[in-house]
Amino acid sequence: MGKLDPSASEPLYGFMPRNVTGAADHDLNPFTKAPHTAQYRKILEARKKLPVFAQMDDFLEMFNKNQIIVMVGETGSGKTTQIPQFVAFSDLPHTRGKLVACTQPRRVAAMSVAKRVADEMDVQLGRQVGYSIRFEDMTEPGTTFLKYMTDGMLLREAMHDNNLERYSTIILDEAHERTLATDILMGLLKDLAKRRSDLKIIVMSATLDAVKFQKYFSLRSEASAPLFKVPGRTHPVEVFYTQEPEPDYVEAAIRTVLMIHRAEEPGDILLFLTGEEEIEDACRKIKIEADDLVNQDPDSVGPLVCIPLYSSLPPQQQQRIFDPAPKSSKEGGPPGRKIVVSTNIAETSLTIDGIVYVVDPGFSKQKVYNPRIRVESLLVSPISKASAQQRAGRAGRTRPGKCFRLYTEKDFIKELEEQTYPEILRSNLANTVLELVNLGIKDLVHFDYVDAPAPETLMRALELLNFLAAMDDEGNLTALGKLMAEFPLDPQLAKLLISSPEFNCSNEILTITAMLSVPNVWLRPNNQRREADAAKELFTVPESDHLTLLNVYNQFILNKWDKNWTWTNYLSARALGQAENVRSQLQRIMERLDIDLVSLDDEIKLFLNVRKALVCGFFMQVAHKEGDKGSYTTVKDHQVVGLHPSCGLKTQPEWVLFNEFVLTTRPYIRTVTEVRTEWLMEFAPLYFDLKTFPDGEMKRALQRAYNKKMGISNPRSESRNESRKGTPTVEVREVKRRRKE
Amino acid sequence: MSDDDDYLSDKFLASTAQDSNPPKTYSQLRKEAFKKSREKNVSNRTKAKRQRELESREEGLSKSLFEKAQEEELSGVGSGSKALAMMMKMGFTPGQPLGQQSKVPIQESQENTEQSVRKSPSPPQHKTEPLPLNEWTGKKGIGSVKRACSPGTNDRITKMAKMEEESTHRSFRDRARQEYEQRKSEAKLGPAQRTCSTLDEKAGKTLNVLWLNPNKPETFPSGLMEALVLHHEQYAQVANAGETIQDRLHRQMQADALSALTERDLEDGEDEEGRTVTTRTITPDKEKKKLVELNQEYDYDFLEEAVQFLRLQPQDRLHLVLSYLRTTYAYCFYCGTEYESQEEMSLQCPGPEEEDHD
Repeated sequence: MGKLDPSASEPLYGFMPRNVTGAADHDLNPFTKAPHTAQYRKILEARKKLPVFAQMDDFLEMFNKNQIIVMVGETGSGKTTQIPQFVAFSDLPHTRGKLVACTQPRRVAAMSVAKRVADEMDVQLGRQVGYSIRFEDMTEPGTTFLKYMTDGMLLREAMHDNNLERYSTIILDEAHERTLATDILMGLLKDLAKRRSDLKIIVMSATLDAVKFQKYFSLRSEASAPLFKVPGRTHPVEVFYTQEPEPDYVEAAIRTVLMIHRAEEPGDILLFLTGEEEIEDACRKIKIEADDLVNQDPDSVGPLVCIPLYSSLPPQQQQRIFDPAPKSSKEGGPPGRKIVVSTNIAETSLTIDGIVYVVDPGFSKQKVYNPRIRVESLLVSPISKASAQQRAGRAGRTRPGKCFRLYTEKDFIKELEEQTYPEILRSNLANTVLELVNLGIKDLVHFDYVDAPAPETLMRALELLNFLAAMDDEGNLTALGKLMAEFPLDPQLAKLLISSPEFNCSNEILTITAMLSVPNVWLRPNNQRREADAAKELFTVPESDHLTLLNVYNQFILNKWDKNWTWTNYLSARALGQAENVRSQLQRIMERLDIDLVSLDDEIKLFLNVRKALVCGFFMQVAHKEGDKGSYTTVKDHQVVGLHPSCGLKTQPEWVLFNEFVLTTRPYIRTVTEVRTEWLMEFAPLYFDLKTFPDGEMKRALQRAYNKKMGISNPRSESRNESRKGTPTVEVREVKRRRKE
Repeated sequence: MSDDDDYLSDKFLASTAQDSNPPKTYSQLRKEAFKKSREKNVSNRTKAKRQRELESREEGLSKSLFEKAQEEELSGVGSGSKALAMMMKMGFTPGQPLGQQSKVPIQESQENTEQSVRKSPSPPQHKTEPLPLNEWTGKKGIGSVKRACSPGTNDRITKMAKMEEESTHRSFRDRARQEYEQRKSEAKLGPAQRTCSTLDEKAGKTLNVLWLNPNKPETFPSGLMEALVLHHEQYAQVANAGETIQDRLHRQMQADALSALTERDLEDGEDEEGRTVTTRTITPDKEKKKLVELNQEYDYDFLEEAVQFLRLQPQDRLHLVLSYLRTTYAYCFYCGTEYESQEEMSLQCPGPEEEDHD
């Protein structure tokens, strides 16, 4: 026994960290020491066929020699699953109590890739290989050494561990997507690399803007970071353009799809459209037209299925995109075809095999935040050239394909931007700024952004944090700010949670916060809108959409035994389940931070207090009723807005507080609660300081409330103190007249 | 009814005929007017709301927060922005982008932005302004709408829109003036025509084209309207063709004989005549017979003249009536006097136009 080669029982015997080769072929699992399962062998054979596997040695060589590598590999090269494993085998992080982290922009990707890699390494998910996403940690401290996580989670970890000491290597995957968190992480890691020479960084990208990353990560000023390239497994794609601009891109897309179905070789079609409604509508139309074609000419036109795909679709329905194409209706007849009509989630995040034709009208819906009027717009806009290339590439996954662009080549060159704007340029940065300040970054102006956001966006973020008392006038984080940063939430919500015990309603605010942090809970199927609205009506609290959410959640918990409850009430069980999970996670944080969880018995008083508490977090999102019926004007920015159609308010109160201000077809405020003038002045005296308001309806309304509160023994002197300009006489007269009434 | 339709088009006659048939009660009329005004109100209001949304948005987007902060400070409304003060403390200068100035920090800070953009296009410039909100209209494909919306171009578009609006205003004014003149002439035409008919009747004339007022079909001599309809049907197409007296006679014979010949019948000529006549006799039509009688009452020339007259603009009709009065009766409408003779009129009347009488 003693003579046995120790390497037989210890697969990693004699290996030095960052100098490991061929450990994957050993009989025993190097991490669990258990024999490999049959499945492992099978997967290993498949892995060996991946393009990236062939380059393992080259990769390890470059990895060992450099601190930062930029890696480019097209989708399908296997980089997301394989590179982190190579790194883990090279680093052997568990031998030094460290981890390898691989970030993903999306939660779903982090979860599914972690599952896949756990299978490949023949370990249990959540032990050696795990994942960590917001509100869900699937890792085992001390055991887990390869962790897939959302980029946002790594950013949050950096707040507690500024040097990210736990990690031996950090891999930023899908860097080309340029999510907000990835962008910030790049800035942090670039700086961190100077301080921690033992930390290795890999930036992985699927597209060709790698040069930008290489330049950015040049540690010494002249040499840029080395590039490691993996060929993808893609086939050539022939691109077609239209001769003339299309007057209606949806109609043109439908026409093109039917043309392909009639005239082109077998192979599935992927059509890119912009949103749920447009997609469902197009699916219906394609179905009708295709059925017509089949009826007219059953000998040459095969059956066709049309499958919608967008993010708000429930997972089971999303799975339908992987169904095989329909069989031909009779023996020897024309083959069937599958058409997937998708938003741009099929552009990068989901891969559908069998797609041979791509129809690209050139549009997507993009979120853009504008700091000047503090609006989040969700508007259809032309895609970028990079995006168009990505879409075309989707046609060449299984065999040579075709891409039909519904615009002219001239317009492709002239009208489309080179790159899609990174998220950091399109986002509200309040949360990010709080995180950065909490990380100890004092100078946000000269932070080394890959792409710097607009200065006004930073200004808005600082303004919000200052009004919420998270930062003092000097730009330092306050104790309250420190506390707020503990919550993985927008600062307004964090502030709301922290101040809720003062109003004896922290349990309720906790629920509302959880409900605001999950996707829309209301289902409204196209053909049952009226029924859905009637069902919603039953939950509606007339003066507050926030309280309506609270009501729904409480009812959901009460009816948990009834599996059909959500279904019959037109509610999303998935979203409500998520809300429950988020709530318990947030509750844990509150308990850790010693924030009391309290409630009141008297419901009327409780509801009133919830509304008051909301003011403490959201006083900067208030609108005043002005002008026509149903028309509101936002405070300070003077934007004329309407209540969103989903709003359940029965009346049109003078002041409303809103969760968001969005610009879709029109400017809307969404999730709204009625508030009172005196609350605004009591809980947000700085923001509703009369001196800072220009003359107008809003100021008069505030002045009235102020006078009432003061009891106004001598209105003349009162108003003279209040405003230095020529308004007092007007105010006084108004007050007097009201008294007479 | 579109503007192109002349006064004698079928549509016009049909609609007047219809309108005059079922008389409406006042309450009906009031209801209608109320409904109309309410509809107008609603459409105006929603338009105004959208307009206000758009205007407030454009105004909000056009001004940077730095400008706004400065304005507020100057007007004494606010005490400047604390957030801006914080940024300044970090070393920010309004107009400059955030981030590290790539590679050439010292030079760039001295140059103004315009120059630096022109001189060094290679290092990626960070943004100094927020991204514009691109509002894509409808489902138009790429290339069929030009992208606009950077603040600079926005201004220009607004200016162009304003210019266009002005030009429509101008054409609106022209149109308004013309309409005013028409109304004025119309107003005078009534009394002038009444004078004309009085004088004519005194002179023993029973019928004159110049009495006709298209706005008051009820004042037409009985049967004339129907006759005009018939005439219009028959001769609309050929009215202006160069015609000989024979043609005219021939047509008049046909008209006298019976009505409602189609064009084809006319072209086919005499050969068909017998057949058409027989078919007509087979299907006797009271209405048509009556019309035939009417047509006999008003001869072709009169009808033709009436048609021409009614087609004219009110100003021209007024001119015709007035000059008829002057030449035939030595009557001046503006003097309101019937002179003894042309000589007397030429001596005493200041002139044929209204301005001459001021």
